[in-house]
Parts: sequence; structure tokens; C-alpha cells
Amino acid sequence: MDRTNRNVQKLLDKQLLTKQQQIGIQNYFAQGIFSLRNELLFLMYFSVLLFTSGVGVLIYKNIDTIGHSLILLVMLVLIVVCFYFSFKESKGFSKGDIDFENPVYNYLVLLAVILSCSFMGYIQFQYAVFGNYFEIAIYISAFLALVSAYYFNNKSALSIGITALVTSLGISLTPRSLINNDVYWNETLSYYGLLLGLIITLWSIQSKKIGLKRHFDLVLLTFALHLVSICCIAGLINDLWIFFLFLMAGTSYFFYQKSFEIQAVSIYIFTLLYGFIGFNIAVARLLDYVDLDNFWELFIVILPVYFIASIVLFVKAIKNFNKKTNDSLQ
Amino acid sequence: MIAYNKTLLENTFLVEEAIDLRKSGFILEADLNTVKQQLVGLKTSRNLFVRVGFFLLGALLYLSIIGVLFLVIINSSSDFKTIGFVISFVGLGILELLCSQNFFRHGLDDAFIIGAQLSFYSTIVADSDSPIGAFISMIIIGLVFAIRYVNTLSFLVFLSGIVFLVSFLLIEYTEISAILPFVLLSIAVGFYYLYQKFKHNPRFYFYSDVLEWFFIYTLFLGYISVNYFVVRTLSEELLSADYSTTDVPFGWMFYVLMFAVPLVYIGYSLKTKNRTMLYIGGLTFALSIATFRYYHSILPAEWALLISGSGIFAFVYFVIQKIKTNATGITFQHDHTNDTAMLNNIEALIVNSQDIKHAEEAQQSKMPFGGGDFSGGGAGGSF
Repeated sequence: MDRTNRNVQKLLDKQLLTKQQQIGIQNYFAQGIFSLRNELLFLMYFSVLLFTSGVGVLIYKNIDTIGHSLILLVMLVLIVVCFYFSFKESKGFSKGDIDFENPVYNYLVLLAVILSCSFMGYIQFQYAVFGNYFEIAIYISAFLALVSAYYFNNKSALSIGITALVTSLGISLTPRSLINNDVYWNETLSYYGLLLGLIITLWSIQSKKIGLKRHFDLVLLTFALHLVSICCIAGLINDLWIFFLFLMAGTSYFFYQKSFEIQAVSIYIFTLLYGFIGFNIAVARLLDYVDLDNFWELFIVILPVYFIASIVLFVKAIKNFNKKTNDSLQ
Repeated sequence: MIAYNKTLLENTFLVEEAIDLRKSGFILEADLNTVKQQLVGLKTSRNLFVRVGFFLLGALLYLSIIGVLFLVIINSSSDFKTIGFVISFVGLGILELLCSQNFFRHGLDDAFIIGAQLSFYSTIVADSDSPIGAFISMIIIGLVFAIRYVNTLSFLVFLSGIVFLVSFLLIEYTEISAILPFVLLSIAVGFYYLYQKFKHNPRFYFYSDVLEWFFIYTLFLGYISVNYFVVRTLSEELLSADYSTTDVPFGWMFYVLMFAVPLVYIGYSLKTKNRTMLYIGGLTFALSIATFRYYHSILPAEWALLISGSGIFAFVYFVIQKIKTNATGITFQHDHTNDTAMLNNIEALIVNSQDIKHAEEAQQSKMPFGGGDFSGGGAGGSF
């Protein structure tokens, strides 16, 4: 506070601020406002995650014991209660970005959605309600999550819904599985993943056109980007790599443009990163066709230059991005 | 004393302040642009990615310069004991050059600040076989670098030098090593008083970021010195004590302090409206709970999760109801100076880190002869 006051005074002395602005700033700080909104809401989010993890562990430990029907019943009651209150407080569906009067209800929706996913998985596992078609349980979960996302305007639910869809393909695309590197893969999965990624992308373009929840763009495109790019990289390693090379170039270009459009630096950086990885794989594959024996010395000389050049280009690209989006704040 | 032109340095900070004011909506875009045009600052990378990129480039540059130098001057009769100092001084020379070219928190200069120091300290350790020299040089050089280059990291090196030196002397040369936690706690308290003294002094205007990190370091030092896990592990490691049957001396006290310190942080931060302290308080409190559960598992994990989840939910709900109507002081209103849009997106993107596990399990269990059962069944060491 002290520092701000001193800086503001200095700016005033240099006549870069008006007296009015300075008084406005001082008045604001004099009120001593200390908002705990973000902190409390994040804590609430954290408590929902803790609770649902607890439910998950409880289910896992009690599978095949007497307690499980009781657990199912309690879960069902909880889900119904959460949805009931959410519906009661909701202002109804809207195409725009609306919020509950009290943001706490967002987390009630989240709790209900996660619990329903666990519930569906659990009854399918325990009673095989849908026989061997285990995907149906996942589709129902995804459907519930997506409907809640659009009805209650809840991004977390949207994210769960898409992940459920991805899971139904057999791809586990959670941050954890990516970090632990246990993404289970084969060539058919690439095509399914690509298809889903393209559908999500098309959906985001379409909803932008009809003005349906435009602010969901970032979540939708993040999923689409990761899904498509990872599938393309997997494809580049396989036989049909020329096809995937063009696809990758196309999608990279698309997301590159899109990141400027929605001003999302996370999408921009990941696009660059995936593009870079893809480019390197393509170069490596091209080198297969060349007899490397003749000029591996040249190769070794070029390598550090290539490395430095990529860092320089990366820095330039970021600066370019900032210039075009929020230059004044950098 | 400071390696930079003071007017330019001040301008850099003023532009930063103007950016903050713009973000909070106090001034208009046009005002910010005037500020930027009028005030010429140093070459700074405010974007973290850019700074990291330049840091990598700087590190490569440093390494290449050293490489070339060695090709020229080194032969088999060279004195390898002093080579580290040569590297360090070369780094220092280039750093001065960069400073005269107005590079400040740019990434390139960071590489040389870190590289020169690292090479100096490690050479001292390698030459003298005793860390005391390194600790003393950390104290001296860290402070000099922090003052001359207005560098935060060097100041943390300086502080760590003090802490390490005191701990080392206490453990190696005295009989009363068991009081180390209390010594460190009093050092933290001393640091805190120094911070309070320096904070408002206009002479340290350029060092307000450094002082901010001084504060953070102090808070963490104060907590870590009384954390039961740290105390116990360090006394087992450093004093080779055995606590398998008995408890650490004053063990109960560390349990009490471990929870008391974060609570004091949280309470005091709410009183003084200090967000940094509040976050550290919350983080250290969570660490204390983890520490406690590490030694005493009173509840099975699932019940602990369920109860803590519902408990926090109820607590937060209660607090929100309580402060919802406040217009000043501690409030639940949207804050000008604190960005909210990002949090919402982050929440949405990390929610998946745990959820879909159940669906996956259900799916895998339907695969006949599903894999995974044999994991970990490799070499059993029974040959």
C-alpha cells in the first residue's frame, strides 16, 4: 500500500496522473477493502474435490461388501438434493454468461456432477446395468455433465463431460495420466481421438456463430488442441505419417489463429510446443530417407545453431503475441 | 552502489506501477500509454516465458564463452584449483557489461548472476573441503550482488548463507545442537523485525521486491524451524539420533507450534490485510496436517477426506454468509486489484485430475484378462 502511494505520488509529480485519479486511488485504498472472494471460492472447490475423492476411495474399498447398497443410496440422495437446490436457485437457461446469485451453488452443481459420474460408474461395475456395454454408463455421465454445464453455466462440468467422452474412447487424457506417461495408445485410437477433437472444434466454431456460451471457448479449444495434437503426434510416428503431417500443419495454423482471436496465451504456447515437436518428428522421419553417413558432421554443427534459433524464435513469437493482444500491459 | 542508472530504474518501477493501476482499472489505456512514452526504463522482460527464454540463451552464451576461453588458455600445466574463480570473474565482467547496456531482470543478466555465483561457491567447497568458506562467501557475495544488481535471488542466497552457517557451527562445534530449531525460530523473528524496520524506509525504495521476498523467506523459515517432520528428520540425519523408540525432545512442543504458527500467520494476515501472508499461512497449515497424518493416522484416508471436505464446505459457507454484506474491510465483493477470470478457467481445467478414475476402473474391469495385475511382480530379489 505504502509503495503504491509513493509511486502514485511520483507519477503525480511528473504530471502523468491527474489529481482526480490520485484521489480516487487513495480513496479506494483508504476503505481497506480486502476481498476474500477468490480464496473462499477456491477453498470451496477444494472441499468438493476432497469430498468426492473420499467418496471414490470409500467405494473402492467397499466394493463387494454389504455396505455398498447403502453407499449407493446415500449418493443418490446427495445427488438429488444437490440438483434440487441448484435448480431452485438457478435463473434458468441462458445463452450468455450468467451466474447464480450466490456463487456457492456453482460448487453444488460440481459436486452433483462428479457424484453422478461416480454413481454411474459404480452401478455399472456392481450390477452391470448395461450389460457389456459399459460405454453407455460413461455416455450417460457425459450427457448429464454436459447438460449441467450448459444449463448451470458451469465450466468445470463442461470439462468433466468432455473428459468422460474422451474416456469412452479408451483414451485417458487427464493431467495425471499425461504426467505419469501412462496414456494407453494404438493407431485406431488416434482416429477416434482426431474425430472427437474435430467435433469439439466444430462445435466451438458453431456455438460461437449462434452465440451459445461464447466464454466456453477456452475450455473447448484446450481439449480440442490437446486431443488433436497428441493424436497427430501419435500418427506421425506411424506409417501414414505424410497424411498426419499435413493435418498437423493445418490444425497448428488453425489454433495459432484461434489463440490470437480469444487471446489465450496457454493455447498459443501449447500450439507452438506441439507444432515444434511435430516438426522435429517430421524432420527425423525425412532424415530416414537421406544417407546420413555423408554429412553427419554438418548435422552436429547445425544442431546447436538449431537449438539457439528455436529459443530465439520462441521468444520472438511470445513477444509478437503480446504485441497483438495486450501489449500495453507488458 | 547500484549498477544501474537510478532514473531509469525508477522509471521502470513507475511503469510497472502504472501497469498495475491499469489492470485494476484506476487509469485509462491512454494514460498508461503516455506513461510508457514519457518514462524510458531499463530493458526488462515482464513476461515470464520471455524471461525464461532469454535465461536459457544467456546460459548457452555463458557456457560458450567459457568454452572458447578454455580452448585458448588451458593446457596440462594449468592450475585447476582456480579455474572456477576465473569462470566466476568472466561472468562478473559480462554482467557488468550487460548492466551498462541497461539489462535489468531481463533473463540474460539472470543467467550470469546465477552462473557466476554458482561457480564461485562450488569452487570454494571443492578447494577447501569445508562448507564454512562457502557459507561465508554466500553471505558476502549474495549481499553484494543483491545490493548492486537489485537481485532477489542473491538476497535469498545471502539469507540462506546466514542460516546454514549458524546451523553448521551449532551442529559441528557445540554440544547444544538440540536447540537448533529454537535458534532458527529466533533468527526468523529477528529477520521479521529487520523487515518491519526496512519496509517503510524510503532509502530502500528500489529494493521493495527484494524485501517482499525477504518477508516470504522469513515466514517459511519460521514455520520450517518448528515443523515436527523437519526437526525429526534433520536431527536423525545430522545428529544421527535414533527416535524409533522415544520421541524427539520437546516433541509435543513442535506439534503445538507447528499448528500455532500457521494460525498466527492467518490471523495476523487478516488483521494486516496481507495476501501473501494469508497464502503462506494456508499452505503451511495444510503441510502441518500432512505432517501430523504422516505420524499418526487416526482416521482412514476416505473418512478423513469426507469429513475434511464437508467440514471445509460448511466452514466456507458459514464465512461467506457472515461477510457477504460487508462493503469495506474483509469482504466477499469482487476486488479491483485481484484478477478473477483466470481462477475460473484453472478450476475447470484441473478438475479432471481425479474424477474420471472411477469410469476408467469400471471400464478396465470389463476387459477379460485385463492387465495390470502383474505390475510390480518383476525381480523380487530372491535369486
